[in-house]
Amino acid sequence: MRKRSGGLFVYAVLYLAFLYIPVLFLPLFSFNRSVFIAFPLTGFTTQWYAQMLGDDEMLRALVNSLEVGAVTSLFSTLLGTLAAKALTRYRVPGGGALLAFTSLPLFIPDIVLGISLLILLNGLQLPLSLLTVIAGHSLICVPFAITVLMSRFEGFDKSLEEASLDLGENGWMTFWRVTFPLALPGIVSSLLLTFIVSFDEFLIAYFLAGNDATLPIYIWGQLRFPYKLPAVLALGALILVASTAFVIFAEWIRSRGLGEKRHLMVGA
Amino acid sequence: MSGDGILRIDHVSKRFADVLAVDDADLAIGRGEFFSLLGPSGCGKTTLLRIVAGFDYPTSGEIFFEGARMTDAPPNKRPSNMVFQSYAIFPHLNVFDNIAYGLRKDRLTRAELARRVDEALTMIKLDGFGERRSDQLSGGQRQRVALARALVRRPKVLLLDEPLGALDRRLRESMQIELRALQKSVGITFVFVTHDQEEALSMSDRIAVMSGGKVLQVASPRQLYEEPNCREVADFIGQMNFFDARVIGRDAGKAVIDAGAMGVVRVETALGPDVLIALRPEKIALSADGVKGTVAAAAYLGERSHYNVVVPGLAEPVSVAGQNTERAVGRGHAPGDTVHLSWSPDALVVLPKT
Repeated sequence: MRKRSGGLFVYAVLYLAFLYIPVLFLPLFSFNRSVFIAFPLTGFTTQWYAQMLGDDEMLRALVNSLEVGAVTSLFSTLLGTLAAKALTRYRVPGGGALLAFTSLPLFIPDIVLGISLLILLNGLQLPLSLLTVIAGHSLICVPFAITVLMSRFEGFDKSLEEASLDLGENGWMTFWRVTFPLALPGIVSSLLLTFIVSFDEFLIAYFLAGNDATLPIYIWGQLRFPYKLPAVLALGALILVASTAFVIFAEWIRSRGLGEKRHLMVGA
Repeated sequence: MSGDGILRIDHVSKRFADVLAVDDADLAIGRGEFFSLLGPSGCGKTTLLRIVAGFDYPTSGEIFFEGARMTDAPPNKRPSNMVFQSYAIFPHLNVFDNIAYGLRKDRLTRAELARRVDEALTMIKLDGFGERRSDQLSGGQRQRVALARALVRRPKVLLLDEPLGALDRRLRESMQIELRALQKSVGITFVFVTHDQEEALSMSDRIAVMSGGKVLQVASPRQLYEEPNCREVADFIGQMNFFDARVIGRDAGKAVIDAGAMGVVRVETALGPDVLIALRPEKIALSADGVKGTVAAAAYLGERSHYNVVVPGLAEPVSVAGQNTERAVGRGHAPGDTVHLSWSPDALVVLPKT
């Protein structure tokens, strides 16, 4: 028994090493004095972090990305909540097909999506801006939001909402007093997930951003200048730390949600 | 108009796609009545209850509360409250807030709210449980909280959807007695959905037996048992022997019925010519003379014994239940014994042939 799992253990270690060692080079070289990304390391420095903080263009791209991510995650989670509630609570005619079509952007290559959106916006003569990026990102984020929220909505007893109606509350108050608090773990993880998807996204943003670069677009642009690379690494390292914290937080929220769900099951 | 009573279910039907879940239910339920909807699962009893609560709307027919038409009113506008099968205790609220949930609109002062909730907690014998979370409660306690949460709103009608189904047998029996006592003391009309005939018989003032969406019979427990109006009701409530029979004549106001191997009997009935004779197992005596048969199986059950008696000419053995009124070890009938069956003509129920 032990012996057999030994092989699997080695496999798991190798897999995780392949996954994380390249990522760990980021913080490593961000503290390396040489401008060249190569061993041996030449000494410890924080100058790249200082350079990064002094780079207004980079900071503006960061702020743009944070803005786009925040608005996209709020918007797509709002739409996702409404859709998930409708699909799990009401008999929606053609609901299954609707869900499938809503999820389609997940399976269409982003480059195709980006080009089609660009053609559409040009046709409508709408100026490209962060708003158009938000629109494009919402398109790919809504399916994530719906998926996360539907599993949350399916996780609690529909009769809880009926009980609220029965006890004299209307639909709106029922949403605030019962549905929203119970769906909250799902809403938070949807916000986090859609934010990360938007924050990461390059292709659609590249097509739709116009003159306002988001961070991935900015980084892509910087790769042409070798001397700027260490500062990009420094930024990457910071984003890495932030996203790790993010994921741990999201996971914690999710597991809390699962714990609650277990109680609900016991109650049923 | 709606007629008497607190709740009127006026020719209500409900169609889901191609299934007629409720088929022309027509019931009037009186003030303070303990009324049960009894039937096997899928008979439409829960759908009917949900139509009364306002969670489903009838395809045709009307719902009246105290004469006021409420067919289209949403649940929050109806003078009824519901105890859900799953209890639906809000998991994010403690017991106090669960019970207080439906009182928000009453705009009570803090002290008044606390008094009402404490009263409710006393009523369900859960004093001091206000701070408990729902996952710290047992099944029986959750059931009581659901009851208190509904009753604290002082509804005109309390709807209960199989509220005892999730409890174990002992708890269920004690809750039956408590629930019945509670209903008498608060004087609120209860409409109780169950598939458990014993539960319905022991608690209800009246019972509507449902099957396949139809209400088959509405009657008191005693009447349902002694005077079922069709084979399905007779079969569903307790045990029953059925014999094919035929009205062959009339004699002094009574029908003369040929029940084949069970003999010729005289009973008052307007039915016929083909009828069904029904006879409860405990109303058949094993005696010195009568219809001759052979014991095929015997079961000793303590206070009574059960026999299957094969009578020549009948397709199925006759089920007989005898009270063991005498202390008689080693006596009684064994398989293979020849016995004679007799009964009082009053014990026979004549049913339409189905």
